[in-house]
Amino acid sequence: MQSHMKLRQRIFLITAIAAILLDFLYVIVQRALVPGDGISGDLFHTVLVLIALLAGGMYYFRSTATEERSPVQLIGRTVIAITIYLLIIGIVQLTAITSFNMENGRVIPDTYSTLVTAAVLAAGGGIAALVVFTSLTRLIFVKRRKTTRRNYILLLVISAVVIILDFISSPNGLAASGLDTITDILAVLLVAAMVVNAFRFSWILVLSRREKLINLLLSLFGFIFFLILTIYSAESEALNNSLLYFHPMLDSFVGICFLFGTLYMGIGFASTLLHLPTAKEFDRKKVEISSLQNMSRLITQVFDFDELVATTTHLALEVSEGDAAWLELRESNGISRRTSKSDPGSSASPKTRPHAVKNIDPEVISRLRTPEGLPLQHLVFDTGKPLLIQDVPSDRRIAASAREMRNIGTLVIAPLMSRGDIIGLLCVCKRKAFEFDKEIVDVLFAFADMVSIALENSALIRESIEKERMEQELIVAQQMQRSLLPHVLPQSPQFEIAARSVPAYEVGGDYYDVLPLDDGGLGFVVGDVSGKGVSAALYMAQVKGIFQSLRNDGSSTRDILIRMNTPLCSSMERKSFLSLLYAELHPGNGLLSFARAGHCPLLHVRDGKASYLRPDGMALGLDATNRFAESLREERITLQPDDVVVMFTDGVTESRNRADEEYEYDRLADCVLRHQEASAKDILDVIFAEVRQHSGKNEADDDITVLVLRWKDGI
Amino acid sequence: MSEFSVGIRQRDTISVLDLKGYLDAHTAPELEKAFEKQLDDKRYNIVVNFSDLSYISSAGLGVLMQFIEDVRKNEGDIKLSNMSSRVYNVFDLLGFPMLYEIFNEEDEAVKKFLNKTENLS
Repeated sequence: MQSHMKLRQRIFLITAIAAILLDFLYVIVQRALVPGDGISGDLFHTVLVLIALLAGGMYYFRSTATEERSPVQLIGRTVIAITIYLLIIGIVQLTAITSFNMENGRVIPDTYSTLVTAAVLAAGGGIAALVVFTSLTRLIFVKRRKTTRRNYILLLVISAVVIILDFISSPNGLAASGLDTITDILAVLLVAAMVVNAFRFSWILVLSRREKLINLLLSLFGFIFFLILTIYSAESEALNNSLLYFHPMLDSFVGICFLFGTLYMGIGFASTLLHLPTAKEFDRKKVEISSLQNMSRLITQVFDFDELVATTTHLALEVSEGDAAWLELRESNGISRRTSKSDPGSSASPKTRPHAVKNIDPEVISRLRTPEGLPLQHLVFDTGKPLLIQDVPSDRRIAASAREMRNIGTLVIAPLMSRGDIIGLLCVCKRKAFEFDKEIVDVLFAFADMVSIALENSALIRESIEKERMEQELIVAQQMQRSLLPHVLPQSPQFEIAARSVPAYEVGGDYYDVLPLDDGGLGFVVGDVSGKGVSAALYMAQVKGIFQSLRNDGSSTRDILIRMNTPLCSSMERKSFLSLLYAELHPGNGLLSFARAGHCPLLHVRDGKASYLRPDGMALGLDATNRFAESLREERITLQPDDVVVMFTDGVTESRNRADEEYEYDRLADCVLRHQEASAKDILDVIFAEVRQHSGKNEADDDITVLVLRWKDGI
Repeated sequence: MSEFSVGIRQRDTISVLDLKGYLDAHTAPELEKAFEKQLDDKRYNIVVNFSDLSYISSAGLGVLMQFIEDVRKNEGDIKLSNMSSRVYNVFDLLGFPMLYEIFNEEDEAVKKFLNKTENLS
């Protein structure tokens, strides 16, 4: 398509050049063959001139269409074209190489040199007029309205009629007479049509201030040059005669184009001048509008906090034409609204941190303080109102040391509000004082409101994503935890075992297991990992693995715990630890040996008496030295028929009721005592029922784990 | 919702952290912040006063474990004082008295620190 267009253009260009050259040749030959009479009214010559004009016009018109020139560029082209033409005329005039004769009112060149000069002037005038014609046509159609086309066609038609009439009436043309009245009327109509068409300057309004200044200069020069040309073509023999001799139609075409150019440039100059005072304002409005459009970008960027704050300061600078900008955001932005009380002597204004700092040294920001040494944002946090300081170097609200820096002249601080809270501040400054007028400040405040919304949305989205993530993690952790617990408990006529672990919604670290031992015994594990979620579940898995590998090597319960401690110390986080009770039951003699690593004591009920057995021992994962082994003791009891042993986690005894009372060891002991005749399963159920009744809610605060062992009989 | 706060006092070269309310997994980060601040300020002689603390969970104890190593590496210590029996039982059950010096009164803990520095000088 493009190459096709280019091909056509090239054909037009070649046609135009060929027509001009052929016509030159024809004119010279004519002159030689028919001295004196020249080429007046010659049909072949007329056709060639028309072909050259039409082909040239089409070529140039198309070239301006494909290049999408701006209005100022089109004006510029016009001015360049006539400047060049004016220079050519000037040279011709200075050298004074033309001389014409008048014969029967016809203009005839005296010499061959005059003929050549006339041809050059005519061709130049034609080309200049074509450039003017097409450029102005394009300009007229910028932001066209319904009537634009009609008015333009009217102008074309009147011009065409005038040109043809000129040809008919001119002595150098067909030399017909009696057309004076019509010519005069048409001349008036033509000027009227020109004026109507020349008021097409809506494109000036949208120019930037710089473009308007350029346009002002260009149209001034254009106007002056056109005026010179128009007057000159009437006065100068050389120009007038050359064009007239060459072809009266060309003469009047060039004349019309130059006259219209004069009008258009004059009106263009005047309206640019009128628009100039508001140009700056208009520029700002334009930026405002585009910034307001850009602000919608803020809303789509809520997923990336860093990008959001960067865009914010970038746009703030654009809106206000400020020199530097930054955001002060509260340190725990949006995530937690609980105010920290751990800051000693903290003032009313919360701590903020600069974000997305643009064009200013953070060191300078940190030096912006009140005379009392508080950060300047204190002023805004105190009042909740925006702050505008027009002359920073002499404002007494600012510490002298900050004023002396002299790199901030004007400063605006707008609070970013969310649900009545100030979540941060938008700060914009200018190097010079008194640079922000009311309009800019208003726009900045409006902008700050939008930023608040975007930041708030961003925080909400982050929170919900985080919540979602944590919920997913909890689900995974709960699944892991469940899969680590034994699915089936061993059964025997000698004993009953019942166990259950109910995880709390959030906190989760309880673990229990019952392991068959090679000698027919059983190992019981009840533990509580500090911490929650996946990491707690992973520690549990590690514990389970260690028990699987250590339980059968004949070590005592104490030794097994000691051997567990070292790997756990190295794998667990510093702040994590694990309390654990490990017991081994030997069914042959009913011996129960156990060791307690920082865990809740073991409840032993016999003959209506309950006792808590609490051998020494610190939690696992706390201390990697010998201290752990030194602290740990093993205890042994020999179970008698109908003895009940209960192992549990602190979720049971620390379960709180509304009055903030814990369930405590005594209640648990009482509960088991009251049901000591019941089966292990029933005792388990009763404990859970009582704990739930005590707390008064279904959802526990902490995991609750209970393992009940009921010894029936030795062999 | 459970409330918790940390107050920080300076006694000589010693930082005293006054804990108040419920220290659990939700509020433990507050205490973490207080300890981080002490370490940032290079204050390694720390007494934690538990007199107004009504509850501590394993997450609260975890905070002490998190910082004790760094504090002791810098010739300092975390000493504990004024525990209610309820709070002390939690420490005791887990074997913390083997790892931390626990005093009835804050003054005793402070004195212990001061004696140590005197002995050194």
